[in-house]
Amino acid sequence: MKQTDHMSNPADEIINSLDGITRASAGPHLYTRIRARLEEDRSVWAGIAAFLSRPAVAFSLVLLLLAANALIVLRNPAPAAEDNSDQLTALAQEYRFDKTSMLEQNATLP
Amino acid sequence: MNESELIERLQQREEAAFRQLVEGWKDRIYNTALGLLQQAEDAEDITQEVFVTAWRSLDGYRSEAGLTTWLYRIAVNKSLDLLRSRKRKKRFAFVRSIWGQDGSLESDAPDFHHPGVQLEKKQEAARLFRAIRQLPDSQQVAFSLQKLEGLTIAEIAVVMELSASAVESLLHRGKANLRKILTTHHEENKGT
Repeated sequence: MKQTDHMSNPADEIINSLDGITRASAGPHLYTRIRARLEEDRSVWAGIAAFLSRPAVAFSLVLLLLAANALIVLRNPAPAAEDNSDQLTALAQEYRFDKTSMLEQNATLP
Repeated sequence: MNESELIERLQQREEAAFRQLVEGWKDRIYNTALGLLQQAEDAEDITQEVFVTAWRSLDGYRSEAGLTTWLYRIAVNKSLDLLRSRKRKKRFAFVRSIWGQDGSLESDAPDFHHPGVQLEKKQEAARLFRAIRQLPDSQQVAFSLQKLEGLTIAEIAVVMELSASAVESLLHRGKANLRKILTTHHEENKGT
């Protein structure tokens, strides 16, 4: 009976074609290749580090950094000295540190 | 040497332990990747990547699931990533071909012959592998792990991080889909 069912459905026959399959083996020297890959990856980083530590590259990078700093400083000039004195005057007036107010204070003393 | 000892030695970066890991697990990983990718070169490449990834992430390894499951999981994820990137490339080539650019549309991959299939079943197995390619990813993974690696439902569930009943349902649906695909092909072949 089972055989008749099997015969009647070729799809099932195909699905069962993997029964008894054996495991495929990886190629030889896999370990050596993996080690080489690990070394290769390590050497990529070592290569980047070596490139960055070349005197010409390092010097150029420092110059670039300094130029960027200079550009930022020049584009944003320090606020004028007047602003500072205005702020100081305002502060002095607020806390009555100016000369006139100090004389007024003394006048009221007994 | 038991598994926990091996892991300890691996975490101490012992070369001999790593060699033992590769030699002991390479065929399982290769066979899993081969079943999913159906291409020997890609499977070899993924196998190498699995061990490189394992070596790099040994410090973060937690042994709840076991070494074998961990390696299977990496292999499945990497294989699926490659399959998805292949599909993306295929879609891109299709779009380019529509726009008349030189994206020559990649024809269907050639028949895959697994080296472990019995000779008398070779043609049928090739047809089955062609049908497997049309299954959704999760059904493909569950079916391949069961048929090619002989894993139990419980083991597949741990690898796929699913419940046993979810895996059972995946396998059931996978087989139903395969039956449908194969029957359609059969009918088409009869018609021509």
